[in-house]
Amino acid sequence: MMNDDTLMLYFYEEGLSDSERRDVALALEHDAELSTYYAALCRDLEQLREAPSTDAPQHLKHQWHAMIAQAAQLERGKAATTPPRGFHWGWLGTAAATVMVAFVIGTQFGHQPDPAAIRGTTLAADSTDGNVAAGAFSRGLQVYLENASVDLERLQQRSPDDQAALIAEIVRQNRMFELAAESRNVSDVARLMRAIEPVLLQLASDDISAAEADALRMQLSFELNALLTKVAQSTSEVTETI
Amino acid sequence: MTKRAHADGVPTQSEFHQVIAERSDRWYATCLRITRDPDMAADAVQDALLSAWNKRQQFDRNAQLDTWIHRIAVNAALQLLRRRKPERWAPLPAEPADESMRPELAQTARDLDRSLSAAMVELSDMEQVCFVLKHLEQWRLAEIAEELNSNVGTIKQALFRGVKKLRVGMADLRSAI
Repeated sequence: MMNDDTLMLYFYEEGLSDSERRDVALALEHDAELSTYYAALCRDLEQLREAPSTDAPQHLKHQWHAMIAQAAQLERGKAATTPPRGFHWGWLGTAAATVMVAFVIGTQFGHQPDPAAIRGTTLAADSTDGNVAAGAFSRGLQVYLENASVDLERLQQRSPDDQAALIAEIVRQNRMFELAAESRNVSDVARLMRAIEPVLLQLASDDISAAEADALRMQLSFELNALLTKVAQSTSEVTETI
Repeated sequence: MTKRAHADGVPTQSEFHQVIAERSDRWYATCLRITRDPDMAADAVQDALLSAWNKRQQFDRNAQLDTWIHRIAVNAALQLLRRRKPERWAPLPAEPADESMRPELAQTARDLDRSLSAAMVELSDMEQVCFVLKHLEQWRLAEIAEELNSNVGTIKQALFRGVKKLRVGMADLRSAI
């Protein structure tokens, strides 16, 4: 019987001479046992193609996007930290909301209740804390999304430097809220926020055409509105709970 | 913002962001399969992206940006593996070393999907790389030999051994089920 190595090379369609390939083909045609054996080998090899796959962690993707953005900026010779001159006052509100979100995240990760206390009277208080944190998160996110929508609509009225700085700020806020959404297990919101980031970064590129920029702004507007609707729904649910 | 059309055929920053969003999971997964080390896989993708960005003038517009970066990432992963773990990159021993108990590999296997990954832990680095490049990436044997500074005969043997180990793992899994 032909050995596995030869059959494997036959499967890969390389590593055998023409005459060797012909010999294998002939043997498979006339030897039912070999043919069955080869079919099983092929099944195994095909199954091995479905090797498990691991997605890249989200923070790495952020890092890679940021690296390209930075490399592009360096090439353009722009200062990386130029503040937006026409800074929108609404962003102060968002900054405050972000501080609240940071607090919420800190509460989520840093909260290590005393196991003995959990059984007793603190249950009701924890539940109220949770609702307050959920409310703070939703309101903060709402403020961020509304400001981002307004600023993106007016983006073209700004200077190129201001546009870049503003988008960098929106990306930063977006990541903060994405992290908060993850920590609160609001995975559908986190997923939508992840989807927004590459679009924002593309919009920040200075090498896209005006038509491409318009299309990206429309896409962003759609995504932000979808998020706002989702957040508005969850906010009303939280209010009802409180 | 000054918008410059990419009429010159050079990939734009925007296209890089788009391809990262859409394809970086695949690059990372391939690099992780090659290196079996999450940090090295992350570094490989980062090196590849930076290299692709710096050499984007050389990109052939008829090719796919994703495929181009993927290939650079694979090469970067191989380079990192050889540079950081040269002791694991020795020519094929007559009897492959027993690496099944290496703690870092066992940990990575836990991080990866179960069944097949568990079998992959049994592979030496050479067997693993040959398997990934030939079976999953579908490189030609001669290409693999050139990339690994080896010869086709050695690559074939590593591939055969790797596939055999994986099939044994699959058979064990089937019998366990």
